[in-house]
Amino acid sequence: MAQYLSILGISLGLTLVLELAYAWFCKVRGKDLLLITLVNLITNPVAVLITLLFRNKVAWIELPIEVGVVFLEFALLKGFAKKVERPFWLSLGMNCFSYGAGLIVSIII
Amino acid sequence: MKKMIALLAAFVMVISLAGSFAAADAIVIPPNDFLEEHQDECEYIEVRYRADEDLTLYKSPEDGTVVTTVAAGTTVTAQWRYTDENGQKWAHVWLWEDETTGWFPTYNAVRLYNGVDFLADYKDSFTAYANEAYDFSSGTALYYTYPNSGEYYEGPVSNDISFTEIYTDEWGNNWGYVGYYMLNEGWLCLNDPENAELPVKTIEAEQDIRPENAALPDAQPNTLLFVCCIVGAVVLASAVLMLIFFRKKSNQQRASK
Repeated sequence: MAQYLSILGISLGLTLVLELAYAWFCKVRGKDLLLITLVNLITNPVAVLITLLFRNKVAWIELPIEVGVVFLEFALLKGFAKKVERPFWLSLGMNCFSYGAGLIVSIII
Repeated sequence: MKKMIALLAAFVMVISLAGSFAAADAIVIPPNDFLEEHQDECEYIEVRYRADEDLTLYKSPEDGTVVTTVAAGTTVTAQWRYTDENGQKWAHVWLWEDETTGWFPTYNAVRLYNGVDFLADYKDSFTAYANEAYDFSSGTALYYTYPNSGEYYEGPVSNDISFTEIYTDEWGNNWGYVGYYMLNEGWLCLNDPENAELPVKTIEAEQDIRPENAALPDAQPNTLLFVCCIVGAVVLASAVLMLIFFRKKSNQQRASK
């Protein structure tokens, strides 16, 4: 169990750092950053858990999961964000950035 | 500008997904099996065990969840061995028939003597092969596990086969060890290579003794269910916080428009 929790924790922590950094770069400020944190708390653990459970059985599981995450985060940003003008592009950019950066980290490691 | 950055990031993501790398929202995927997690601590073996009583297979040396029970009289082949902190040896088996794997304490089954044991125990009795000629013109011979084991299978031979060790048993039969010949390995009776009625002398293997402080691990709780509950709680709490702290502002924004 500790192993599961550590994977989820590390993935969530890394994702939050990367996506908040991206959002900051896109001039997102104030409570919208807190909103992005909560949005990732909703999407990231579920996405990671599904990937862990089904990765060995369905090799392409990551693509639909990532697409789902992008659209769900877009919907939440659109519904609750205070000053995010283009929530879809922000969601797409954040998730692609965190995924790409995670990929680079895994290659280096 | 933001769109360009987002599109560029999307391009990188698609390429990496196509390359099937392991990152997804920065996920680190470790192995999820005891054998994979403790690979460095496990020793590869190829040892057969006979269950004189019903043999229980457990999920791992750390998880006492029962996987299955092997019926008494069954012989299983263990390929990995692990020694826990109490000095208790565990063997890992893979039951091909129902694709089940599990672990058992080695003192719960009878270890069977094998060819590797014979090569180690009787090495002082071996002589070198001096290229003597033997008649293998029939093209087949019986490969024995070890001389006089009574366990054999039929395999191919030829007159140009060579042997790394020569052994003479107490009945005067000469045996030659074949390390590898066309995927076959074992001992051939050089005097009578196709005789299945050779004298049998079963050698008892040294058995593992149960350590004094040996104990079976407790069955672990359903880990996955617990993790799902934690994830569900985090999601629910975050959703509630979002509704509390952001919904009002959303309603205010709509009202002001």
